[in-house]
Amino acid sequence: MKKTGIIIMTLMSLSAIVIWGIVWDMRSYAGETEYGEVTVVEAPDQTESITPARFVREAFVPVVPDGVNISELARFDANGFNDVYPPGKAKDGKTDGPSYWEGEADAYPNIFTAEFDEPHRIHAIKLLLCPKTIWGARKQTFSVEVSTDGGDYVGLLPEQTYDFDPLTGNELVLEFEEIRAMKLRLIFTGNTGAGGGQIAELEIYANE
Amino acid sequence: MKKFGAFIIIIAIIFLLALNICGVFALRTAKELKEKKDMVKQSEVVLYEGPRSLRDAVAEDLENVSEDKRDYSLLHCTDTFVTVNGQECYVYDTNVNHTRSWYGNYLPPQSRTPVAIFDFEGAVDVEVRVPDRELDKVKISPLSAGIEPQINKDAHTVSFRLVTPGNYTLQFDDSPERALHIFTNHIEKEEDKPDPQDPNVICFGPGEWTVDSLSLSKGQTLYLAGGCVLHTNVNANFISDVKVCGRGILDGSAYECWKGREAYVPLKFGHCKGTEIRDIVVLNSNAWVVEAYDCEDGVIDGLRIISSRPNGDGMSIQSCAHYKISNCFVRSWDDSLVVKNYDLNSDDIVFRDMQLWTDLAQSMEIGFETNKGKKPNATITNVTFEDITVLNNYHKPVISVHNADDALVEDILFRNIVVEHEEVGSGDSDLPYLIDIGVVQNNNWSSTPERGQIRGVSLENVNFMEGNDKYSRIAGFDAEHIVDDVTVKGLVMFGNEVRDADEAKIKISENTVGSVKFE
Repeated sequence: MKKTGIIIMTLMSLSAIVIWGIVWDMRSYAGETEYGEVTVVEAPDQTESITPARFVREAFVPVVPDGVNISELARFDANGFNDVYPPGKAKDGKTDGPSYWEGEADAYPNIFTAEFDEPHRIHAIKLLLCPKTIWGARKQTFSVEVSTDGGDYVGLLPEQTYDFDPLTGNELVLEFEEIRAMKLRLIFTGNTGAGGGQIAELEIYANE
Repeated sequence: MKKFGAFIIIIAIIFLLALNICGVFALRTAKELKEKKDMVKQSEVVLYEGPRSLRDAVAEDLENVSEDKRDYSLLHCTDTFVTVNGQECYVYDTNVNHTRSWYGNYLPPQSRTPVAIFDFEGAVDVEVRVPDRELDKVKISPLSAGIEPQINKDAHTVSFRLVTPGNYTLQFDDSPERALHIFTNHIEKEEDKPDPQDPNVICFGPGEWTVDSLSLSKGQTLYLAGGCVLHTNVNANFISDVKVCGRGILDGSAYECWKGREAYVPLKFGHCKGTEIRDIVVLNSNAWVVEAYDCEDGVIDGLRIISSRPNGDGMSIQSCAHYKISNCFVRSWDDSLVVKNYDLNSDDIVFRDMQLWTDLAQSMEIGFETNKGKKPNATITNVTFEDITVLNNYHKPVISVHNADDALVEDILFRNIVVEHEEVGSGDSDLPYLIDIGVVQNNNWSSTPERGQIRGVSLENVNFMEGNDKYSRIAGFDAEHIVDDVTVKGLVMFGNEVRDADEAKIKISENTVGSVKFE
């Protein structure tokens, strides 16, 4: 009994020595914390916000065709429109914000029509979208037809895809041989920037 | 004598046993301490100096007034100081909004709050010093992280350790004002950073930059490096495979509030496929923050949003399919997360591992517009909100499905939702419900003359921890346009697991609601 007790005491003493020895060895961890690597990414010296050179845009000078814009004399209509973008917004003198016509989504052809009370001799049209860069570049595909007397239409410009880019004012000027027109229509079949054709302003030029 | 010897041996054995047991506990504690210290010792931290052009905030900047009465710019915070592993971390001062009512003139009073951003691996010790506060109490959210703040009142500091990169919010003395948002990330691997020489990469480094609206082209990546503050808005239209990522800030404070006219939505995607937004921080939007419209296969991961202006919804997912949104933080002055139908049907939208703080309107909302495009057979299906922590919700319902058009809204799941604090019904809230599920006609939001239905809504493991013990509501429109097949499982209301509608304080309309099961 006594012997067993002494053996147990000896073993327990040894284990206590080992355990507390390890604890003693780890006492350094109770001291100050040692931190790992800290990287500080420095900011450049600057006193105001900077526009990087590649984003500085040169002022664009709008292209104005010869003659007079007579779109004010026309009634604008379309075979449909999307949301809050009816055809009348294409001649309100504004290109900003929601002031544009947009054809019905996924319902090509979107046909936009300008009709005069009497024939005019026209030689150019100008299409504008909002010039702000928030309107990203897009391509619109359309053809142009005219009616000389209010009756049947004849082709004026065949279907073609045109670039609209805010870097160049988001505008497009199309000039052609002077022609007598009582009605003019644009037939849209594609737009890479929206679900339907878009016109913020349509200007029609005549020498009057 | 023999007996005395045996007694001594027994006493000695007991003593040694106690010594061994204490030793084992001491060893375990020492080992834990060693492991923690090793984690800190082996940790890596990346801190980003903020732009030097940002002005230091002064007392006038912190006034709770409308944005036309003070500078709304993003600023350098001067009343809250943060160190990470002993190194100073830059703190921004951004705008937030504690107003609980709508302002028709779009000019509600706004406040400010500090934001710190850094990356780390391992474990880091963070110390926050707020000299102007008494610091009686500090709450660190999410509470599920179990972070124990150590407060030193004399030094006005609170210290704690972070072991997992994520989003953490400190609220002082039970007040939402001047809460500190800490947005942390894993350290970026060099191979994960886009190559700035790649012509398809638009890269902004540390510093403050201003550019016109950025329209991304197919395959382009916009990268905002840590320490970058970029004043602009980003959009993509009818394209695929675009990405916005990095550790930087997209800031809208240079734009005036949209006031119902011109919204410069910071991240606006229309008719896109395969878009990604990762890890950036968006502050001071002039309207809502993320708009995805008629998009599919989108990923939003690790995005952090704080908005304070009218109509400042966090993420508005409109008519989209197959959208995965995860690991984001959204603090917003309008709906934090919202799914609507403006055109096509919505399907397979998943929000997972999100933290929300909703200063106005609803935290998780479907509707009200469910068929604004007036399409035949409109549906919103398979929408999941899972593992969501709502830090605060002050105004309208925390969980809501509002069908204000003729669509069928079906298979909506809210699972593992923790609401740490809510004060639903504050201010001018006209929907003082914790949970609101309804088919409605609404003068502001309905577009179709007919009404729709809601079928298959599951609420699983929803836990309201603290707040106004308001009612919830389930109501159809009439006997044909009903809410049906609602399942409630594991609903805990302020510490009590509830088993029926009465206990849950859910008002169920008698003639316009089908099955509501409690499990």
